[in-house]
Amino acid sequence: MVSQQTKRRLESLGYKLVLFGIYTFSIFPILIVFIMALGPSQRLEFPPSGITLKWYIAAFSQFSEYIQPLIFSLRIAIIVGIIATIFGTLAAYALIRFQPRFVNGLQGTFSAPLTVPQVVIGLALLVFFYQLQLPLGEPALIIGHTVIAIPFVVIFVTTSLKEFDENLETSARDLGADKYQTFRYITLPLIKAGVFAGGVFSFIVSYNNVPVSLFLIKPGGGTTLPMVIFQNLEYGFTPDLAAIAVIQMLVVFIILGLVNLVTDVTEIF
Amino acid sequence: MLTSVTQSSRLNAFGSYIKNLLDRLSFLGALPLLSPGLVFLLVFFFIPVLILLGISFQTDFLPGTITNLTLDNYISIFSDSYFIATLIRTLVMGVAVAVSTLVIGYPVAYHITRLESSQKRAFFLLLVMVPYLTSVVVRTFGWLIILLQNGFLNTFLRWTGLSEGVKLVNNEYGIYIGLVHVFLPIAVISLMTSLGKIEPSLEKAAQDLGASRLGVVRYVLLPLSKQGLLGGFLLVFALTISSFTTPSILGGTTEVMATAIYTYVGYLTNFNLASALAIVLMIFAIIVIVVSNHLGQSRGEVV
Repeated sequence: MVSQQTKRRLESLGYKLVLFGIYTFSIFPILIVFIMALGPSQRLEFPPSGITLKWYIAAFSQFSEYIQPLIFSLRIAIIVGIIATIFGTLAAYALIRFQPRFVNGLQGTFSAPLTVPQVVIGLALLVFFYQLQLPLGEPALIIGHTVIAIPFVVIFVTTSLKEFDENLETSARDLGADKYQTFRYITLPLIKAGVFAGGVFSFIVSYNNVPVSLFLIKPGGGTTLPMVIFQNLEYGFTPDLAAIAVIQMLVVFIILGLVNLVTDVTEIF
Repeated sequence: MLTSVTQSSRLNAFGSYIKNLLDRLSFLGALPLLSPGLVFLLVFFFIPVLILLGISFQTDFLPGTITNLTLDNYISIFSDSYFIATLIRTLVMGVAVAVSTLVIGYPVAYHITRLESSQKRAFFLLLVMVPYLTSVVVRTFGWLIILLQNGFLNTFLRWTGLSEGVKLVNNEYGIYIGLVHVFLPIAVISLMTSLGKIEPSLEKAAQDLGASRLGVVRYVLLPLSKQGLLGGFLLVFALTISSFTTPSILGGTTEVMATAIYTYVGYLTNFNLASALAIVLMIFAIIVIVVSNHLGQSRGEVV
């Protein structure tokens, strides 16, 4: 009896250790970038011999290397977020009005970019722009990122529309609201969480993207921050690169925080 | 009197027929809402992929010409031992990463679904979701710091005297570790949907009947979460063979399909061969997703 109890205890302890190991595995690689950026040494020290913000200052002072790409990335991600949210929300709203057998096919069409590897999408667009003799650069990047962002918006908004009681719309119409008013004052507030989730996800998808950007950046033109970090990592890294990587990551958390002011983030995810 | 009744019922029937027809045609009103997104994807996704397919059957790459269709690119892919090795490495990586994320993700998914408070559930879910929400370049950066020759792990190993150092980047191991890390959340979420449906009382019953914890896992949990395991496997497999950034940074010269495509464009500017490679990769990814959707639908579930 006692031996069985100790066995149970050992199993329970083993389980807890395994869990601790996995959660550490999950966050440690991200924490270490923070640690690297805070240490005073040019080389990696663990534990760091002190705490300094000089690498952040160094990162911010390299305007054309880091800050310009950051602004470029933000601009593209905001535009992509807006376009993808509008196209995706309208499509999702229309989709649930179709008969079910069409819905599956159309949903498949809208989620198709998710099934194709992003490198393939990037290459296909590069070939497409080349064949049409269109220039690469910002418009091409916005288009490429919007292609991969639309499926997320459609999925998020369709999910929240499915939970939505259609009788509410019917009642609004019966009470004299027109189609636009019904959408604006009844439907939109109720699917707000889904629309926000789609918009935020579109922003993040664009803001973090490498595989599509890789093919569509104009040589010698503006480049995105993930591309800068990606290319620098090939030749080894410095603490100021870690600092700008931390800044890149923090922007996403700040945006999630701002969204949280407008709507409950946990409701989204 | 009688005729007027039949007349009015005929009128009613006609009216409901028209109403029915209008209902069926009501989707036409939805077309204007649907079309911006649909046209956008048609022009910037479906047509470019079709052009890519065309280019993969050509040996030249001139704007606006589709002539001399040939299988040459595909023949050279499948007769080149380097490509075959890359393809096999990619598929083996897919299986290895999918199996590993499920094995590692299982205790986590179990832990989260069995937590009583929703706040704790949200906290641990966020903890495991962090890699997926973080930018790929940042998390791969972290792995470089850990895995490099003079990195965190090797410094630690030398300090303990256990090893003179292990080579964990610029090879398959680096790619494997990085990808397991990224796709762990996907496996966890996939398993959570299955594990969440299992009644905790079943485990209690098995334990009362004398099963050990591992016995409960082996005879109760695993059989009941088959669906989540299969769905998670296919999803992580598809994502792994499609991934580019992590293998590119941590694999160095060790290539997988996605990085080989870029090499052919970026350094060798052979668009035709790159297109053929892209089509091969795309076909593998689509097959896996279609199978996974089909399995999900046949059991009335979306994976």
